Amino acid sequence: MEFNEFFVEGMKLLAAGIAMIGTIGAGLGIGLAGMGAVQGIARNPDAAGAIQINMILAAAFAEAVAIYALVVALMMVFVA
Amino acid sequence: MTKPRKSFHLGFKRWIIVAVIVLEIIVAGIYKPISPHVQLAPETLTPVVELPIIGNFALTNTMVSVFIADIILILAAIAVFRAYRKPGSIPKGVAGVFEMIIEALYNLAQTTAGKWAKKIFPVMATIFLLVLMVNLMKLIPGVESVGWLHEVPEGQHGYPVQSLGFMAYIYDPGEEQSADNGQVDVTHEKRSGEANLAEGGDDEHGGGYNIIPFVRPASTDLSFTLSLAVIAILGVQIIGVRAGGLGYFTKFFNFGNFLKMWTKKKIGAFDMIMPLIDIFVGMLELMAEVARIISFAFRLLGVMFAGAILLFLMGSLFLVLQSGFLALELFFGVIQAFVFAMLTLVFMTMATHSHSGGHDEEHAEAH
Repeated sequence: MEFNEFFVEGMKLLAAGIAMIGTIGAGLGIGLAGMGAVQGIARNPDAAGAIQINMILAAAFAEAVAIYALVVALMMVFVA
Repeated sequence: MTKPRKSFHLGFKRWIIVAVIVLEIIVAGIYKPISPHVQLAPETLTPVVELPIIGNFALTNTMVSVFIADIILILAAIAVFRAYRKPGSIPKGVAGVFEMIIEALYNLAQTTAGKWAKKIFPVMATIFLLVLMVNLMKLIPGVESVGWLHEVPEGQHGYPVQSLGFMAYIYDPGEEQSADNGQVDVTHEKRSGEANLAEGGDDEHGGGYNIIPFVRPASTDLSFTLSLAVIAILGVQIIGVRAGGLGYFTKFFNFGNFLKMWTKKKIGAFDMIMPLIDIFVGMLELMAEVARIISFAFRLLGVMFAGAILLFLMGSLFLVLQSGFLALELFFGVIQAFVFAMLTLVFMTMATHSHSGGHDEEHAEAH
């Protein structure tokens, strides 16, 4: 089937936008990690250092999902 | 509040910074920043040559940044070595900064890895310093904006240039602006980046130019991040073998209970299922190792490549807003280097724990 090239370009941009919906989950995850860390630090301020390191790790894991979505979106725009 | 005016008059350096900011606004108004050509694969600087073992080889601009980072780190190592050669001397300057970094990293490794810290720390610190240097390289002015000029082929988007004298060219804003005033649909075409849709109405841009930058941060290249991830995960396996001997691999190929099953006189249903589950869990562990490599590689690549595009877009859309995003990129560069090193440390520490310890490592497998 033959499509109009403008249609294909537009669909690529639309697909990139839809791919970025996946970042909702990562945002929720990072928010939860931050919430837990702040609550933990508020209850036990002495453990702030260890909590921060673990929070950054957890946030990195959650962020990785967003970055997969970002890589897919970038490939849609620049590679495909 | 007690001394508001005194600190305002002091400080000659801050006036230099203000002057630089004002100069940036003026220069950005004259030479309007443009969005460079965005490409995921690294650009080649030299023609491709055939080498005996490696095969096709060309010097890419991401390799140049790795070489620069290596040179910076080697020079820093020499400076630190010279500073510590005299016993009892207090390090200052570069040596002091590196002592601070190394001490913080070593304390982190000590609290996480315990007695294995001495084995794990060199790998982790090397990864941290290399990734940090490469990530921060994009903040240097001229990186990703100075390079070979090349004529874009027909049908792609280029920019007009003007000569600066001896073999030097600069982007010429005058022609672009006149072209903007002449046609309305050219502005639409400019926003769409490199994808040139309206070939017919784009005669002014047909013979434009683009640059191949000399230096591009290596973390925007999948080759660098993937090879670093493979090195890190191979290091994890080596540390695991050193800690648990060849028994480390029973984590992946867990046939022990399966073979033991046949020696029993009476085999119940439960006795048959559990060894199969063990084998299946081993396969899952093997897949998790591969997933770690992919996760490592794409995390660094995604953040840094998206950061580069963010800087391009912000620089070309707004005049001075890019300075704020440079600070953001500084933050992300440090955080990503830290995360890479920290995950290597955690994975290596988990590999040193004995396999019989149970399922305490599941929390890190969740990515």
